Amino acid sequence: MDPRLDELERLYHETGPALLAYLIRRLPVREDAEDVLQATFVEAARHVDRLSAADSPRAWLYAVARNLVAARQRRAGLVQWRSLSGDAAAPTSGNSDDRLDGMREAIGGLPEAMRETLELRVGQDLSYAEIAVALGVPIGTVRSRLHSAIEQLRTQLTHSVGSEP
Amino acid sequence: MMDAATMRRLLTDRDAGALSEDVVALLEFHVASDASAAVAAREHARLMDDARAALTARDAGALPAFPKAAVAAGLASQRTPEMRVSHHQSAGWVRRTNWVRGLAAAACVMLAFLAGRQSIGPTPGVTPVLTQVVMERPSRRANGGIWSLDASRRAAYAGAGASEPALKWATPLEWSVARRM
Repeated sequence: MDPRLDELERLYHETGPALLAYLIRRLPVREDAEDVLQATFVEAARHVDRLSAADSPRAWLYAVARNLVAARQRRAGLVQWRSLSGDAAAPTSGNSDDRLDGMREAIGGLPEAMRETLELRVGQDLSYAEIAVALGVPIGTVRSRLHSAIEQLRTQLTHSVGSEP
Repeated sequence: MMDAATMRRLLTDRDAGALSEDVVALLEFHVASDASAAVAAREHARLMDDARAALTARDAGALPAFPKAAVAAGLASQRTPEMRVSHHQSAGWVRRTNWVRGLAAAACVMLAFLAGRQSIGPTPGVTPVLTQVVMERPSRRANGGIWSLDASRRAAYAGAGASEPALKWATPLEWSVARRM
């Protein structure tokens, strides 16, 4: 039995759920997200030396998954993020629900680069360095995108609260 | 006094673990000592909590089974370190014998040159005879073209007898002839 196979399986169970959630957000069909998740680990097996040399295997996996999503979207001519407002698992308590709906709408209105950075930082809890690897951009870009995203969210939510009757 | 936007950026960086301990301590001291900073920090924290709730509310559901066979095939398709070492060794052996290959190539070129020379060279004992054929193009002037000397003379003598040329040639050559006459 190849010990690298066990290691990849451990990594799959450790990173898989968060990565699948990220992929479900990027791809409209759940089966596509599952396919990409599995393809990501097959790709990781093919380049296992690069995976083991990476500072953060998790960030490397996100980068591979992101490239596979981009390739799939190019083939299908589709670039689409799943709407956040369609979340079935959203909490349903009155006031908090309204606030979260506003937040989902505001996040949905962000430019894609900012939204993806925010998702990886806040939704997936990746560090700046990991996001930089996953997105293939410098850390400074990650930082500025995240700050801009947060400022835009704050401005938008403040205006929407202020404009309510 | 720190402005609110800078403080929010620092709070975001702190949450990401991108600030040193000293800066974190200064930031927390500022938030604790300034009432407006404390309010801004609370608003920022609530905004980030809402964003996190919005982004993580979706349950990803059950993880599909680990694709063990495909991953094992992927691992098998990858070159092992042993393969790379043996490849490296063979590459070194090839590099060491490069001069033999160069020598063989040079010998082949030399043999081809000699064979070619042998096949197209002169037969021993026979002296080659070189013959030059010069093709002369007939001149229009000599042939009596429209601008030829003959044509001009014929035109000049056309109206008079051959003994009385109507046209006097006044060239330096004729001057000397006239003087002699």
